Amino acid sequence: MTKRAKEDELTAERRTPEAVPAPAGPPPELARVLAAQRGAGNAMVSRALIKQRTGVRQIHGDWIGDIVNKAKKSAGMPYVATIGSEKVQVVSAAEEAEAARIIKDIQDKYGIEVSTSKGVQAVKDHYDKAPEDVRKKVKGATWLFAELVALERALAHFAPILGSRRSTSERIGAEQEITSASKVDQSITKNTATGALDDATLGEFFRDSKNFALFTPGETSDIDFPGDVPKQLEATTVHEIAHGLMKYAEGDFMKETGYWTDRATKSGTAGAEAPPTSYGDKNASEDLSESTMFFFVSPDRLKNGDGSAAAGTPGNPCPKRYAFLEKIVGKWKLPVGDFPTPNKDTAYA
Amino acid sequence: MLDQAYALRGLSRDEVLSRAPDAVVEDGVRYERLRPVARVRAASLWPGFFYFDGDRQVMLYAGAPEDVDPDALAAALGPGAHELRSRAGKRAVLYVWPERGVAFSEEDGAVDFLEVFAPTTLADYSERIYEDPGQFIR
Ligand SMILES: [Zn+2]
Repeated sequence: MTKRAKEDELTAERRTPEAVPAPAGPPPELARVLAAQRGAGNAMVSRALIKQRTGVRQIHGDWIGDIVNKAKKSAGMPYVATIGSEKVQVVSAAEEAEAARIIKDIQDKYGIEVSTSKGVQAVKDHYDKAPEDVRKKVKGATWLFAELVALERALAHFAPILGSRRSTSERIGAEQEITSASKVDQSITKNTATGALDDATLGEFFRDSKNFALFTPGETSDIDFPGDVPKQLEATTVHEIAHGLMKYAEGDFMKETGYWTDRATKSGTAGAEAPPTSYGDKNASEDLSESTMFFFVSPDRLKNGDGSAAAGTPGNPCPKRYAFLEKIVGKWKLPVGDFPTPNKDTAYA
Repeated sequence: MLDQAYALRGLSRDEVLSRAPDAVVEDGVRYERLRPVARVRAASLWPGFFYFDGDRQVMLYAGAPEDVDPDALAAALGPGAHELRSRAGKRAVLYVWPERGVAFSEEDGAVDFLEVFAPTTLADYSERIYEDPGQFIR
């Protein structure tokens, strides 16, 4: 079985949990969550999952939750494993062991701690003007196994400038911009007195905390890769990582593409190659993160565009951006045979 | 910086070009919804860009101005700011004083960019100048 097929199977299993066996029976909160999970796969359900999240945490945090999870594990059903400080939804002991391996490897190889509490704190710190009662509601969330797989795949693209390998790379002179990754339930909509819990944000980078977080709405998103949530998870994660690790290249990126006069303003210059997506049209940072996302996860999409956008409009073919990123990544200077080549669109497994 | 901007706000294109021999002009560009306009960089006068519709100045812009404290800027502009979504980022806020002809984007205690324009109404600013960047989700 290919890795991809295995992931699909695991995802399918996760989405079709059976009822907790009698006589214990699931607590009402758990039953509602399980019912919601059966239909997971769209934004509406994602929002419903968020609304149930408090109940999930309460269940996981007490003895009833422990009993339920043990019962589910012994019955061969999906369950929530505790790995260090993290909660991870898995379908088997083997998957639990693999999740533990991923978390350890990410720390050992890339110098990135998988720590949900750091993400919760990062959200609270960066939304300091949001209402206190909203900030207090920012909570950690359970990782999906597929998210950890995506996290490892995404970080592998940046391996030459992470962890101990950074000291033999072009980036040796700069501190690593990301040192932790988190799964948080929801972000906050804006950093003002009207900020509220955020039903839409998939991921977010927090520069001052050297952290990025994935959020619950990302569990079901396939916004760039319809029907392919695992690939979307990897892409979203690459996007967030790029906000940190690629920031140093932003100035040169703007110069070479000619689309921006500065980080926040489009040049309007005729003939300038536009970003690969409308989302990347917000500012140069989003443009660079979107471009990096496609460079690693779907390079043909970056080179050839979305198939409908005219030259100079978002979604157009981006050969300049592709060439720029090829050059930047090439300068990371790795030993031959260890180069982070882009994925092939047709060979994701 | 605000005083410097106010002093430059009314200058026509000819006046800027005559005062700044270092000026570089690009015609047929845009600034948000303002298009087509000419962009003039005249570093000896202003650390950003002037935008002109014909001879008329329609925007004075500075990106990431150094040593500008957003709190001091807001205090100088007084009450009455409107908050709009900023293109600079999810946590950035665009504060607009349309009647004063000033807007700036702030995030984490720094000014992302400053706009100075002819005093107007919020409706006019929103329709003629401002371009909503849309929701930030990642
Ligand atoms: Zn982003």
